[in-house]
Amino acid sequence: MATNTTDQREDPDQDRLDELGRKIEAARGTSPEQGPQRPAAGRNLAYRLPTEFVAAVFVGAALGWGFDRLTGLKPFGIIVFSILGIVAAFHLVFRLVGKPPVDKDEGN
Amino acid sequence: MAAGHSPMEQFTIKTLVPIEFAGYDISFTNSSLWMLLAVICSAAFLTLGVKRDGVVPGRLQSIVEIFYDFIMRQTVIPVMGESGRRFFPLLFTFFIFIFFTNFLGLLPYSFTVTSHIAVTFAMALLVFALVLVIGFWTHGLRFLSLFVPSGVPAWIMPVIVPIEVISFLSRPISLSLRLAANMLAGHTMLKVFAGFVVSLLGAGGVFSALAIAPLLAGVALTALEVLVAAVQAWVFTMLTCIYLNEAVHLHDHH
Repeated sequence: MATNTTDQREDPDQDRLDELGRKIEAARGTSPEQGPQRPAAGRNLAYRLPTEFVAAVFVGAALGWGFDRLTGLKPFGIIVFSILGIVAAFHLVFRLVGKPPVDKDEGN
Repeated sequence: MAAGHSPMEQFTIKTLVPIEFAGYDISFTNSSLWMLLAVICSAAFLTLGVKRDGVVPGRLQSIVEIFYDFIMRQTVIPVMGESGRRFFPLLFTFFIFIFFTNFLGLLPYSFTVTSHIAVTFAMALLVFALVLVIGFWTHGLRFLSLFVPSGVPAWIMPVIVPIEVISFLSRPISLSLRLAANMLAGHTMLKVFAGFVVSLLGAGGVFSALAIAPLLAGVALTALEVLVAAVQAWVFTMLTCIYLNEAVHLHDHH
């Protein structure tokens, strides 16, 4: 009984709350799309970059080591894949920081 | 603690209940204990937070709602769009688990689960496997075009494709390394500065007065570690979001 009466009393408020909720939802739905670059983006990058770099170099070297183990081409796999890994690391960093100006003209 | 203790000692795994199954050591360790505590804490936090389910939230409910809002409206939806909603349970689980393990690790005498790469790498591998499954599920073999950037001349492909593959493979490594390294470095640094306080006090005379300097640094570092604990939990979640988004939408965002 008690819950019934409160429910009935809250009914008109519920409509207005829903209306407000819809308005807030609409306002929120549009804003993040307009500005993907939020102030936190810079700090976020600072946390990401060092490990991205190290990981790519590491993966390149590890692939080269595995390649050498499998094929027996002892020093060459690790040399080539390490270089690729380092290039991949720079590639990752440049992609995260923003494309260099030359790339921008050619892409898109 | 004795002065001779290494600052790395806090990371040792201690077996609490030895269990062996089919030749594997699956003992209940201090790491398992703190993982379990993190799960219990997060479950208690979330269930108690939404128990009253008021239109006007109480204190605990407000915090739970901030967590939800932060992950759903400020991370998942901006990164993945509306289609990200179906990944919310996984992403929120990652966030809340890492958040609680990081914070419990800040308590004195506790153990930081996320300082071990075995734990973070297991989570990163789960993300990596999920990206592969979702990628091939939704796009089939077209998912492999992830390694072939558009607008690149054909003769450069033999170089670009291995580079793209390496940067793709480096994701689980960087994802796990970042979290583990941050926790490891932070806690080691705290212990080192705390050790300075003890040894300066022990040196006596003028040096004892100097002990206040590393103590203040320790206080400041603790504050920094609180920030790092929260930020790293979010970074892990956000990157998972970005990787999943790429698997779902492939090149759409370019």
